[in-house]
Amino acid sequence: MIKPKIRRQLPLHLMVAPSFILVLIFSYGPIVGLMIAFQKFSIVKGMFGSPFVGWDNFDYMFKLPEIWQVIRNTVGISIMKIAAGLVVPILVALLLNEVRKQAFKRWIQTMIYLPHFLSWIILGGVLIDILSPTSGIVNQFLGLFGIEPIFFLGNAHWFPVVVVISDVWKEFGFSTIVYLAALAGINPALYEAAVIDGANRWKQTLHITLPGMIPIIILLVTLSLGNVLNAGFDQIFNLYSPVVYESGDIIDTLVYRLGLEQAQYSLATAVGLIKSVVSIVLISGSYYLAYRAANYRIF
Amino acid sequence: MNKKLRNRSLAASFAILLAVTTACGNNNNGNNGNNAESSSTPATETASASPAESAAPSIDPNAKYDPPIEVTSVRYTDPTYKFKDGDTIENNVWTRAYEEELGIKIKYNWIVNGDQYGQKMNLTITSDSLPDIFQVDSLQFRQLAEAGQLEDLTQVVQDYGSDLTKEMIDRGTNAKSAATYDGKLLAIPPAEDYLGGAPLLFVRTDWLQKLNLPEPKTMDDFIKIAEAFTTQDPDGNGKNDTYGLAASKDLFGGYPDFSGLMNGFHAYANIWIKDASGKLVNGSIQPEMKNALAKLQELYKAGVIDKEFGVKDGGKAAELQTAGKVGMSFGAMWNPLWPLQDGVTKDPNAEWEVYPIPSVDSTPAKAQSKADFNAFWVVKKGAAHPEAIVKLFNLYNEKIISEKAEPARFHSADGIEFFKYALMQGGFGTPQGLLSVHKNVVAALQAGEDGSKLNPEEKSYFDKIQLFKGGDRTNWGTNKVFGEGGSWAVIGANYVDQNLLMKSEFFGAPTPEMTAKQAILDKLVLETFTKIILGAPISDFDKFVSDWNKLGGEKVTQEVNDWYAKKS
Repeated sequence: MIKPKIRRQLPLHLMVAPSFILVLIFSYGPIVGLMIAFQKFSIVKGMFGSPFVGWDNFDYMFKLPEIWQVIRNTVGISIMKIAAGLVVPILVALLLNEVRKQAFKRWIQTMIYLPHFLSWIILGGVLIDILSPTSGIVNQFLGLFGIEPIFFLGNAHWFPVVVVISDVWKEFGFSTIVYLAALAGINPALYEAAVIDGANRWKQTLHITLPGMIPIIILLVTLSLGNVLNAGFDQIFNLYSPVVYESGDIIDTLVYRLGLEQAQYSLATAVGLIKSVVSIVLISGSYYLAYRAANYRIF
Repeated sequence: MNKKLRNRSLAASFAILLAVTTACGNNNNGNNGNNAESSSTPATETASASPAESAAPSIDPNAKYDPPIEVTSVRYTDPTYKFKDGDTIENNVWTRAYEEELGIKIKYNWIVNGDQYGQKMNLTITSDSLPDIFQVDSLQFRQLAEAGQLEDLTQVVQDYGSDLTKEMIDRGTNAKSAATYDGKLLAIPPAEDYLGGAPLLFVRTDWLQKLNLPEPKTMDDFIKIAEAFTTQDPDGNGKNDTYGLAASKDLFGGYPDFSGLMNGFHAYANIWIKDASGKLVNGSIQPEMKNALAKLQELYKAGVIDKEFGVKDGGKAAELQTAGKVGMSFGAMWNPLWPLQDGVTKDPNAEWEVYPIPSVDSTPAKAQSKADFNAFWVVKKGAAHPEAIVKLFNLYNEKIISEKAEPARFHSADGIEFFKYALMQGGFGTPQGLLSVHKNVVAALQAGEDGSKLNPEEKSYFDKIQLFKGGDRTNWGTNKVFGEGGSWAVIGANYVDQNLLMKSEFFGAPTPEMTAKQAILDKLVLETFTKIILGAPISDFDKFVSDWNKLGGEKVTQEVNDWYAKKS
């Protein structure tokens, strides 16, 4: 009985094999390399010849004078990004969902989706120009209301705000599409029933649309929690400057200067390992909570 | 990241500039001493009489390997490599010369793009698959040397090196010392260039004339000019929109580079200098730096420096300057080619002049300079023919630099640069360097010659300068770098002839504490300097000095001094 089944499924197994092997080689294989986080790695001695130093690299990292400030910046910026990146797309998706004219809706969708395709290298230059206190369009606009020019990118208080807003602006179009897809999946019969029961638009949104979106919201929040220690390297790297290090320097930029520019691979690996551990704890934690609270399972 | 790219392309173009000048064996300069080259069998026999080789029969440095040997190597190329007549990187005029004249076949284990070379080399070292001959950077060099994986070249250079090869190796004492470990020469060192990065002052002279100002001879002149450029509307558009001095968030780095202004105050940023007691100290934390920063703060407050420089990188600063809004900048000798050329092309009235660093007092200012030795040609320990590297270098020098050079065959023709195919090329320059290129070009110009006596590269600058003199302003930059009164003229007349160069005394590979702490110290320097310029109390400097020492600077200083003691 067993044999025919295997034979029948053999093509399927063969089809899945390449991706399985790739994941094994490129995702699981390199895990062995994590051991250099516990070594004083030297490229000459290699992974298997470098001496083990236990927790020295971690110890060194947590004794860096600026480490806590950097961790605070990272967590602060990314939590703000996660929160804003959750609320804004949901609101926009709800609003777009109410738009009756399809052409207009498509147009808006495309417009807000576009920035997603631009790289931060380009947007960094654009932002520096439009946020300039002397010639930037933002400050000229504020000037119409008698507001003194604000040096957004050169001011430690404003810098994280600019980072969060610009990130949301760049990415909310993408998430909006995901939520719109979820909205499209809600059974129209529910709305018809609600209308018959006398529910107005607001009540419909509250009792049908939002609950219908809950699974996808939980999925996205759970996944984004894994990014709490990723505050967006390419964005910050292209926008920051020594003036705003105190509020803008994040783990990744510090590791870039420390680990890569100075070729300290062990240290960079140790930091990467810490980030992965924190991510996996947060993801499994939030997944468990989602399961307990909303009885929702991703898998 | 765009800044990094730009820097890389700058570095690349500068490297090409250097490489292009490798053929400047200047035929005018007859006494290079290489006439003894290659034909001097008696001399080499004397060399072979050294005790280490006494057992071997006499060594003929010019002997061809028969049967031919195979030497493995690795290399990089880039899109500027062009080929003709079906040549490839593995079969071209150089590989054929290696085979025909030396009996050496080069086999490349891998060939990558230039920007991936360092990483690929790291991988090759890690996986223990070193080729026979290869190029490494300073950190890789130190690690390989410490691990004893490199062949000692002292003796093979003695035995097989041509006179010109020895001259090329011996000309830069610091470069040679950087290639030496434990008293053994482990690499063919790169060229030693202390002049290419020395800061100069560039001034909009059409603005000077318009406002009736004197040339910047002293720091006071400089300050007056800077203030006048800021407040007296030099571009005449009726708006208060000009700046006296260019600046970027990186503060240093070739353009725009505050180290020039600091040198005027006898302060030297980020280099290691000797203090009164003969110890090496870091220039960034010396008291003179405090004065320089106080002046920069004053200039910033007065609006001489762009209010937003703290967020702008060099590219953004260049936009402002080429738009005709900035009247002065400090930077390296290549600045006329980029960014000044762009502004000159746009504005037919724009004219810039090059000046040495003005001094704040009666002591002339010294321009700071640092030579980064970061390209070492080495031989794997246990390679069958360690002398092959010397033979290859002999051939390169003979075909490119010596009297017998054949530029049309080995260097370049019709825009195709053959010299790049050579295994060991680029970064070696000539025994005299770019300064001699400038001197030869200017000599030919002044004598009214047609430039036919110049070698192809000098001729290319000569031709561009002639075009400029004929009214073509797109070649203004070449004239301002190599022509009369250009960057090299100022460097030669001041920094070289009057010995006004402050060289960094440290040129070894990064020390262990440097590797660990340099990023933190750099951040501290940049952050503190920027904040002081933007208006933080100048007394913060004292706290900065103690922080710098505490955060690892003290230990780095100790290591640098240990290195220095060991070196001398």
